[in-house]
Amino acid sequence: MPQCQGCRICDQTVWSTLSDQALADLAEHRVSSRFQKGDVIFHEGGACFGLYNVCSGKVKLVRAGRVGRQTIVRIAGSGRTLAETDLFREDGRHSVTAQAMEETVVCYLPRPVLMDYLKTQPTMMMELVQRLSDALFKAEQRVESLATKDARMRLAEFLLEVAEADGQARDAGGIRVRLRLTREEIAEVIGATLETTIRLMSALKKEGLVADEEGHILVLDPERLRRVHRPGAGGPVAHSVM
Amino acid sequence: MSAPQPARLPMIAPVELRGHRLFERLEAGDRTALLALAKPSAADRGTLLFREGESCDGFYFVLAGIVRLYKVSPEGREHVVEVIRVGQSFAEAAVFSDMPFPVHAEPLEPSRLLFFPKEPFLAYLREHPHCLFGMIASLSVRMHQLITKVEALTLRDAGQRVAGFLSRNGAARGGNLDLSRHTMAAHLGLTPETLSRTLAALQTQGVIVLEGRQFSIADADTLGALSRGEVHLG
Repeated sequence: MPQCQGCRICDQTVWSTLSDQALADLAEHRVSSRFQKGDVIFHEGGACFGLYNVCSGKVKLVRAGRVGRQTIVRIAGSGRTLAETDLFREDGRHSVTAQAMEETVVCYLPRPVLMDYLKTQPTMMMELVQRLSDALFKAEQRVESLATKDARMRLAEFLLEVAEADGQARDAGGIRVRLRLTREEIAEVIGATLETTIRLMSALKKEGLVADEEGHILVLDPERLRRVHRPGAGGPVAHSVM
Repeated sequence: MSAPQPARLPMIAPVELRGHRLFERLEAGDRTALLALAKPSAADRGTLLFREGESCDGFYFVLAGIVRLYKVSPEGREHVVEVIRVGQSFAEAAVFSDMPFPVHAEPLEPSRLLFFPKEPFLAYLREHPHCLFGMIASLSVRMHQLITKVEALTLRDAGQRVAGFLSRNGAARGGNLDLSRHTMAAHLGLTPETLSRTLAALQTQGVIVLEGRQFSIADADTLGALSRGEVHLG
C-alpha cells in the first residue's frame, strides 16, 4: 500500500489541527488505499487497527440486522472520519461495516501511532471530542426523525439532505444528486421496507417533486419537497446522515 | 438561559461523579478539580432548564430526580429524546461541539443538579489533556448506544420495541414503569394508543402481567425472543 502523500482534503479532516511539521512526522505512518464500489473497508465485529479518513468518494457505514434487513447508520463523504468511536472501545472491534459506495480513497493511521501522538496533542483530542459530539448530535437527530416522522417525511428529508450535500444544480432546473443510490440503500437509510420505499418514490415522481436521470436522483422542486418533510415549515434541513 | 439559582445543598463528594462516563476514567485529583467548577442547583418538576436552540453555557449532572430531554415538532407534538436519571448528565455534547442546546430539558420530578459552566470546564481540559482520553472513550460508548437505537428504530416493530424496553428495564421477574405511558410511548417512537395496544397484547398472550405501573414478566423466554425479533406478536 502506498504511503499517503497528503492531499488537498487534509485541511478538512481530523488532521487539520496539526502543524505542517506534525503532518510530515506522521506521513510515514499514514497509508492511503483506493477502494472500488462495493469493496469493504472494514467489517462489523472485526478488530479495529486504526483511524480512517475519507479523502475522496463515499462510504456507507452499515449495521447488519438480525432479521435479514440492514441499516445504513451513516454515509460518510470526503473529510469525514471512520472508526473514531471504535478506536476507544474496550473490545477494540468495529461496531459497523464500512463499504465504498463509489471509488473511494481512504487514508489510515495505525492505532498505536495515533494513541502515542494524541498524548502530546490536546488540540487534536479536542477536535476528536468535537467530532464525536457532532456525530452524537446528528445521531440524536436521526433518532428523532425515525421516531417522529413517517416514512414519506423521512424520504423527503433524506432526499433534501443528499441534494444539499452532494447535489449539482442543473441548467434545466432542479438538483442532480451526484451519488448513485439504489432503492435498497434509500430504504436502509430511512428505515422503511423496499416495497414502501419504491411506492413512496413513485408517488413523489408522480407529484413532480423528483425524477430519475441515468440512475441519479433529480430533486425537481426542493421547496415542495421541504413541505413534505416538514408540513407548514420552511428553512434548512438538519443533516443527519452526511 | 443560565443555570437555575443555586440552592442550599450538602457538600457533594467527588465519589458521586466516579460512575459517570465523562469522569469515570479521570484521576481523583482531576475529578475534584472539575467538581470545584460545578454549581449545585435544585429544580422543580416542569421547570424549563433550557430550550432547544439556546446558546449552550454548560452541561448538567443529575444528583437526584429525573430529567426529560425533548423536542417539539412543528405541529406541537413533544417527542422525548432521552430520559436522564441519577448519575447521568446531559448537554455535554453541545459544550464540546460549540453548538446550541439541541433539545429542551425539564425535570419530571423535583431534582438536584450539578451545573458545569462551559468555559472554565473546557479551559481545565485544555490544560490537562490526559482527561480528554477518558472522555473520548465515554462519548464513544454513548455513540454506540445511539447507533443501537437507530438500528432498533429502523428495524423493529412495535412489539419488538416494547419487549426490548421491558427486558432492559425489568429485572428477571419484572419492574416498575416509572415513566408515564405518554413518556414511554414517545421514548419508543410509538403513539400512546399503539403502546397501550401492544402492552395489552403482551398481557393477553401471557408474556407480562400489568398492575398499575408495576409489571411482572410471566414468560421471560418469549419476551426475550420478541425483543430479538425472533418471534412477533400475533
